[in-house]
Formats: sequence, structure tokens, C-alpha cells
Amino acid sequence: MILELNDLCCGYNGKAIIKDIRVSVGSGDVFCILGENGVGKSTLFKTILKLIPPISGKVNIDGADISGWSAKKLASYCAYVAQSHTPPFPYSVREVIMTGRMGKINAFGRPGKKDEEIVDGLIEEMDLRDYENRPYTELSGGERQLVMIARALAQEPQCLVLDEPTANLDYGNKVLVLNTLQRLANRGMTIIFTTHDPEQALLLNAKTLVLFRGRPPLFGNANSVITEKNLKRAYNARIRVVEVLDEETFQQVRVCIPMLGGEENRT
Amino acid sequence: MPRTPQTAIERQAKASRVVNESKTLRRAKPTQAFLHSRKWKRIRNFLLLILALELFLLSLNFRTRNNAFIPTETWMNLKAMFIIPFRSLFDNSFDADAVRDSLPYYSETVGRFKLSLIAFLSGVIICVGGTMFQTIFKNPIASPNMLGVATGVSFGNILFILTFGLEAGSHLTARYLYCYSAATVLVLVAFLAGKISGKSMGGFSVEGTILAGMMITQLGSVVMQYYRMQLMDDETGLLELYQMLTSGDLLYQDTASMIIFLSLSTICLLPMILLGYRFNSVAFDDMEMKAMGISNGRMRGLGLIIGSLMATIALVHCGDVGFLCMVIPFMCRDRLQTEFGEVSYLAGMTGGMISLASRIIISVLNAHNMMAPAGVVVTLVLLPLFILTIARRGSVFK
Repeated sequence: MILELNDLCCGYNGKAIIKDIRVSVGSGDVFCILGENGVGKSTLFKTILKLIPPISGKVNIDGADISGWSAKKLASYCAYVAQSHTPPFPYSVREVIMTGRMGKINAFGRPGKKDEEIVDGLIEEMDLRDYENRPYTELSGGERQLVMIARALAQEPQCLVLDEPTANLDYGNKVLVLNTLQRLANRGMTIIFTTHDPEQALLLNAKTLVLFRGRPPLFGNANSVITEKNLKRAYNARIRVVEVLDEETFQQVRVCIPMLGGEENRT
Repeated sequence: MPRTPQTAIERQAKASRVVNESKTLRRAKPTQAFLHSRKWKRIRNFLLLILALELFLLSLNFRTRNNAFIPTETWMNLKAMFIIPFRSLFDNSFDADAVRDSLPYYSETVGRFKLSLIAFLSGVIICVGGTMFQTIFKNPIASPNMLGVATGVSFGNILFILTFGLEAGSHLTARYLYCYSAATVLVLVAFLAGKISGKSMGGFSVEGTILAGMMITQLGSVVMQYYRMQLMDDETGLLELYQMLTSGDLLYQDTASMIIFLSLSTICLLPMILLGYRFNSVAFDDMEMKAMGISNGRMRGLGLIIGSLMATIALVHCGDVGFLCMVIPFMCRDRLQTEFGEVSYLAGMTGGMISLASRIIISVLNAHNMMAPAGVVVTLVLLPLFILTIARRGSVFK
């Protein structure tokens, strides 16, 4: 699958929030969107998912303009994982994952054998067997995020769109979610996600789009785009990008460290 | 902090305890899995159906002071009740009246059958409606009465009595027209308020609808209180008539009432059965569902219309049993199941049985010359259960 954003301009009620987005990502690519709060990351997501129309430009999937597509057709290509999710009722983990099949099930139907098998496979893949019948509301943040990813995968999409998948998670759960995303990308799935941790883009070697307030966006490989200068522009804060050695894999890993103090910082 | 075992015996005891605990866990796991399996759900649903059927039969044979039925007689009467219309259609020489007269307690059995059917079905539909509203409003204590349905029905009754006076009893079909129209108008006003208040957000405002519903209910209760006070001075018996109509002391079993009740109940229950699984979508976020290719707006609209109609049917034909629709789905969700199709079945059957049981209690009380409105009996039966559920509530409110 190839997703292309051609001169995309997004916003609400004709007022553009982000302009001139030119991006192309293919199967197995990880595409990370960086930028400060309110810069338009979610707006871009909504435009990609056809939840709001673009002001100008096009979103193409495999060369076809998605503006004429039905929501159902788009759902067979792209699945969405929201940032936080709290269902009002204690649905079991299995039931939550099964809702991902809803778009594939006839309006008058119920989940069939095939749907059960797909959900079973996802429960195994995400290592959720122990939680299968537990209420989703009783899970930890990381486990919930895995359930949400499993639910999105139940749609059998080719592209996964995640809105800050590691927000509010501790290090253990962050690693769990990032490993899962890496595994899915290795399997050929396109991963699109937003984050406030630029090193996640570096860790996943993602194609990265950095959105700036009042400046044109930057798109490129994480290693070339995530620089101290660009981070300073994007977040208006002093952020060091340093290389450390991973003693297990003996590879150099780049990490970002926000620095306190200094005249450049906002406060 | 647990003490580390010091001696060999302590270590052995700990090891044995660990083994036993893991065995318990291993044993517990398949049981848990079975309780969540489709097989168990089918068995449970079937058992519930059998239980409801037994209660229904019990209600037909239940002994009160005045009429003590024998099951064989009831069976003969029921058989005749279904056979007579068919034989009358195809056999011109068949004397239906003679057959009816030959059967002891025939008319009483038919009356009880209709009464039990109204009570049971009213319980079913109001609880399914309650489940629908709780799912739509993502609130485990939402109820269809929130949109002013009960006020609409009461308004309908007032207008009916004002129009026909003491002759109201002979114009029952008109009563249905008044009640259903008044309820529809008030629900539409609430929807309109939701639409107008949600206009700035480009959609429909649930909060606006609820607020409008609450205001309608509040205004309605003031108007009805005023009307009741006016009737206090009336000595012709209009107050008694009004109370009889609203409390559900009388369940009308005439052919027109039965046709209206059964047709509307079927119209409401059919989409609920057919779209049972799809209605789960309204419990989740609209944006998530749209990204799955599902439009929640249509489902929500359909659910609100059907849920409101269900509450209206139950109120018009069975009296004020509104407490059922809030408590039963809440308890079923808390203790048994969350998935909409399952909850609505469980809540429907349980609500039907409680409504039927309440009706049996009312029959017994009536036989001993004691009057109790249906709503009071239902509330008295449910309140302890509700308090217990609230006290033990688990994850429902999270």
C-alpha cells in the first residue's frame, strides 16, 4: 500500500491549520508526526481518515484519491487507534477486540466463526490470552493500548493510524507498544503515529514529518530531520540530541534530552 | 511482609501451598473460560426462557381467593383459545360459543392469559428500551423516561379525560391516540432542543436533549399536580378515573388494545433482535466507529426512537413501571454481561419476569381487597436488589 499526501492543506471551516504537506509512505514504513500541542497533528490524522475534508490537496491510497471512497472502503485500508479510550461499560477484552470486526459484519449479523478465529489469532499475537475475559476497564494503560491495537488489527487493515499511542504510559509499557509497532511494520504494515517523544521516531527509524507553527513542515528520515535546531523550532525549547551505545546490540542510538534553564527556553 | 520459610517443613508446606494454588488457578481457568463461552451463554439464555415460561404458566394458574384454577382446566382453556378462532374460520357448523360455555373458567383463563402477556411483554420492552438508552447515553443509569415520555403519557391521559369526561371508558382507542401523540410530541420537542443546541457543534447535542427532557418532565409534573388539585374538588369520579388510567390498576384486554399493544411491541422488538450486535457501536466513540466504517448517528437515532416508543407502550398499557428500565439493565450489565445483544436479552427476560411477578402480587392483593399500583409493587420488589447492586457495584461506573 502507498499512502500519498499531495500538497495537502488541512483545517476547519476553510481556515488552514497546516499547509503544503507532501508525504509518501509505503508498506512496512513507519511514519511519525512530530510537533507541539495544537500545531495540527490530530487535524492531519482526521484528514487522512476522511473524518474532515481537506481544504486543498489530495490524500491518495495506491494512486486513488480517497475523497470519493466510502467510510467502509477506507476502513479496509486504514484502522485508527485513539489516544485514550474509556468505554462506559465493562466490556471484556475479547468483546472490545471483536468490535473491530463490526465493519465487516452485516448490520443484521453477529460475529461468525471466521471473526472468532481472527480475534483468537490477535489475542495470541498480542499475548492477551490471560486477559481475554477480563473487563477492559480493569486493565493497565499499556494493556489497554495493546487491546486497542488488536481491535484496529481486527479490521484487517494495511495501515495503522495511532494518535499518541504511548501517551501516559510508563517506560515498560512504552517499550511494549513500540515493540509491537516495530513488529507490525516488519510484517509489512504501514504505521502512522504521532508522539511527543522524538526519540521514538529515531528508535523506529521512522519517516518523520515535523510540523512547525507558522513555517512549512519538514519531511524526511528521522535521523536527518530530528536535529537540535529543528526540535528547537518545533517545540521552542532547548533539546539535546545525543548518541549513546546500546550495550546489548552494540549499536549507536540517538536520544533526545530536554534541557532546563537557558534564555532560549520559554520559562 | 511475608516471613521467609526457615525450616525444611515450612519450605515443604510453602511449596505444597504454591502447588495447590496453581492447581486451583488451573482449575479456575477453564471454568472462567466456560462461563464466557458461547455454549454457556446459550444454556443460560435457554434456562432463562424456561424460567420465564414457567412463571407465565404459574401466573395463569395462580390461586387467589376468588378463582382457584386447576392446571388441566387452564390447559384445556388455552388450547380452546387458540383452536376456536381457526375452527370458526374453516368450519361453518362449528359452534364456538357452545364450546366456550362448556369450558369452566374459560373467560377467566383468557383474561389472565392476556393480562400476563401484557405484564410480561411490558417488562420486556421497557427493559430493552432501558438498555438501549443506557448504551446510547453511555450512562448505566439512563432511562427512556429522561426525554419526557412519562410526562407525555400523563398529558395524553389528562387530555383524554378532559375530552371525554366520565364516558372515557367507552373510548379506549382514543386514549391510545392521545397518549401516543402527546408522548411523541414531547419527545420530538426534546430531540429538537438537542438538534438546535448541537447546531453550533455541527451535530446533535445529547446534553441538550437530556436537559430539554428534564425541563419537560419538571413542567409536566407541575401541570399534573395542578390538574390533580383541580380534580380533588370534583365529585363525579374523574380523579379516580385518572388514577386508574395512570397507575396501571387496569390492564385493558379488549381486542383493539391487544392489537395496538402487540403490533407496537413487535415493531419495537424486531429491530432490537435484528440489530442486536450492531447497537454495540453506540457505546463507543463516534470517531472510532466512523474510522471502522460505521455511522453511529443513524444507529443512535433509531435507538432513541425505538427506546422512547418502548417506554411509551409500557407506560400506556401497563402503568408506571419505569423503575424497571433503569434498574434491571444496570444489574444485568454489572453482574452478567456487557455486550448489547446479550444484555438486552437478559434484561428483557428478567424485566418481563419481575413485571409478571409484580402482577401476581397485585392479583393476590386485589383478591384480599387491597389496592396497590403496579409502580409501587415493582419499586418495592426492585429497591432491595438495586441497593444491593449499588453497594456491590464493580466496574460499571468506571
